[in-house]
Amino acid sequence: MKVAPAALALAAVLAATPAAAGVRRFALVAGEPDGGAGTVHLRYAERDARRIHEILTRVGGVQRDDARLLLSQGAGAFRRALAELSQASAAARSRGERTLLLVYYSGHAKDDALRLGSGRIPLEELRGALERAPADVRIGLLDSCRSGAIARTKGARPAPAFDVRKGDDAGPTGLVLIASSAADEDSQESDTIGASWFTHHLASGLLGGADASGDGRVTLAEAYAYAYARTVGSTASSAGGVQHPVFLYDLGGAGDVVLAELAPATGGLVFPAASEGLYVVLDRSGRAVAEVAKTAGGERRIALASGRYLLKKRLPDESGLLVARIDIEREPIGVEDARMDRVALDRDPQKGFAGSRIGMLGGFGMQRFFSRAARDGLFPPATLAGVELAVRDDLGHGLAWGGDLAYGGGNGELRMPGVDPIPVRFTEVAGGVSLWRDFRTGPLTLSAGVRIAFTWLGRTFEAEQDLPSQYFFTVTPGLTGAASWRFTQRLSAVARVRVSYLFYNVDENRSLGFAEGLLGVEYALGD
Amino acid sequence: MRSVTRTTAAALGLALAACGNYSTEDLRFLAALPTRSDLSVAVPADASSGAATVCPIGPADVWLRAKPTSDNLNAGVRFVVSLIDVVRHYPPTAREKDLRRWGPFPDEKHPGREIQIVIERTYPAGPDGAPVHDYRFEARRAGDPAFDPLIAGTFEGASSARGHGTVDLYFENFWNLGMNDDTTPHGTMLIAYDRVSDPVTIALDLTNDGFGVVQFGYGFAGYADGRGRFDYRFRTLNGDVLTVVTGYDAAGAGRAAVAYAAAGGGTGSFRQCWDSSACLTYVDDPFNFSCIVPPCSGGSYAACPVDIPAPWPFPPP
Repeated sequence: MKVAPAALALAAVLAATPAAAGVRRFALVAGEPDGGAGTVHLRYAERDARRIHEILTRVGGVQRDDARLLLSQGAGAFRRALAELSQASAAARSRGERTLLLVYYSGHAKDDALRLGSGRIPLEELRGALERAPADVRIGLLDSCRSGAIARTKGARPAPAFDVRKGDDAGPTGLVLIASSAADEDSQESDTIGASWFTHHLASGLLGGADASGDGRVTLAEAYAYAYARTVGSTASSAGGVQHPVFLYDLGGAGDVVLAELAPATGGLVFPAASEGLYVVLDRSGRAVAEVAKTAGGERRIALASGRYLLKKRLPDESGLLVARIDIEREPIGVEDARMDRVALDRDPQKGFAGSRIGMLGGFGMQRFFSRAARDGLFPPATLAGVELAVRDDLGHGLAWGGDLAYGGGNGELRMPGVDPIPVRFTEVAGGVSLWRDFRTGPLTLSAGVRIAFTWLGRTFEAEQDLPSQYFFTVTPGLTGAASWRFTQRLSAVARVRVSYLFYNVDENRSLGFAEGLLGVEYALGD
Repeated sequence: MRSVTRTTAAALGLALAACGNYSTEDLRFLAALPTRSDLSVAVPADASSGAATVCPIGPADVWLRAKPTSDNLNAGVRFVVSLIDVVRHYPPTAREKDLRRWGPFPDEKHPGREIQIVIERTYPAGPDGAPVHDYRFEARRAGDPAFDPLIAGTFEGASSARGHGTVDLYFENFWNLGMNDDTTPHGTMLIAYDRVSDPVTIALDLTNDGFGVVQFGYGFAGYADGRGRFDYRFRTLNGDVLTVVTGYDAAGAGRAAVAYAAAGGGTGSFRQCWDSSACLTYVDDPFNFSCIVPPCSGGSYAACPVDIPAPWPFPPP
């Protein structure tokens, strides 16, 4: 079973020879959040699998046709995919190609078996399949609790590195098994990084963080060493206990397996030799996609897919963060601390602070005064159409401000004692500014804050043309609250309620309260 | 003390930020002021259509003077109402719980004069009873301490469409203040109206000739079913003054009792009935005053409409 923060030791393993050297690589990547009865749903198993699949196919030398990504597909699909890839590897070998078969699994493991939904795959079965697989190099990467049991019989070791034989023959052959935790340890997930610890560090290593030699290649040994050190470090103080990745290394031949080649990849970040510290690369949703524990003395590069990222670095004295928005395209981008923005610790994008975000909201709603006397004699209920501009996280994490405009009105009757009801056309125009705090829970955001508005209220009496038009203009302070549900990256459904105070002073001094409800759709501008 | 100060400051701030004329109470005050329709004499418009009709006995000339006379009276009413209506177009200068005041402000049409309008509300029958509104349209020469009333009125009820009241015009004050024009009459016009029940009644006492009508106490009663009564006076081209009490049905047929004062001296009376085409159906004129070629009397008494509100009695010959 995999528990809360689990780390992933995944990948590093791959290739005895670089992709460029002609090794045909096959990869089976499976994410299985459901482990059947007695297990909890893993939040990040599928994301872990998608992440590793993306890395392997982008910088790991695995052609897309040679990769299988299985998300919650069960034991049967896993076995079929493994058999299919083994068959393909055999075919490639028959044509004289060197081959590598990598199996990655993120999910539950219990009682010496992988738990894929209601199905099970005993670790012995998986190990046997890998041992028999017709590939020159077979690599098993398991990110699941107690997965170290797969290497138990051969004396797998929780150690930061394994030896790689030097030589100049055709390349390594054999089996490598890497598990995210020892046979008696849980593997942990982390909400902070949105991944299991081991997979997160393995992925970061494969993207370049583990390239200790700086040669643009991430070898199996480098990846494992990086993932091991980072996983142990990350889980050292966790409630789930420290997590030690383990390995079984049974390779013949010479050389190490290159798992990722950074040079052919387009785009990415280049950390200069002088830079040092822990850098974290976040995607648009604020989840970590790579970490680089950079030490001074050598250039380090990480390969990232094209897109927009946030790069953050925690200052050593805990006085703040350095943050930069980076658009990765074809050319590598050099990282310069001096060009990053310094922000307070509470604006950590990894903790949900994504910088200022602007949203436009449009919707319809109602206005209603609480006092019946006020409704009948002064301000009748009105329908409203409104637009709002919201700037979130501009004043701090979770703090937002915005402006709004509303126009509306309605037809009603003015009731006065002894006088026939007079038809009234009522108009309301309001504009306000608000300051509020957002509380986010997944796609749901609850907001509460204060607002001050200028409100113009007018009425005309079209059926009684002798009566003059009237208006009232005033300041209306109040409270605002909202519940919004994000259903796409940019669109959210919003239900907003405002309660405002209106000081009426024409006939007499009266304190009135009114509520406005608004249902609308918010569109997020930018990222 | 400090919190009280803060609260006061906050309230003051909000009060200063608030402005407008959004007042339901203003509307209640305005509802007490008479409108043109409240004071209009509504004689059937088709009363004059008989002028083009060939009538066996002759046209009802006396009745045919009713509509133009009412039109002239209504013109006087419009004059009154147009003065009062100023307050409908401007927010009050001062608002108190039971008082609204507009002005004083300079009268643009009469430099050196200031006008103000005041409406006061009382509840003589208690807070749950019908309010009574007293209003004054008054003027003064700039610098004078006191205003002279031009119009004074009172109204009991919440809405002028469903109450009763009076409006008094003091034309002499227009002249005294130099606010008159060539058509301004002298004397006073006292209007009383009652719209509480059926019929609606309007009484206009004009102490001097004016607005194209002669001095008289005009009276009008209009029923919801179209019947009506109109008491009026007019002067003929040759100077005879006829005082007429009429009653008419919903179709316009009616009867009249007429008293005359001949220009050359002498008085008398005659009676007439007419149909809905304003053709005479019965004339009882023993002194042959109402026609050029005697005898003036003729027609059938039985042709006179019966179910009309006036004049009464109307005995057979």
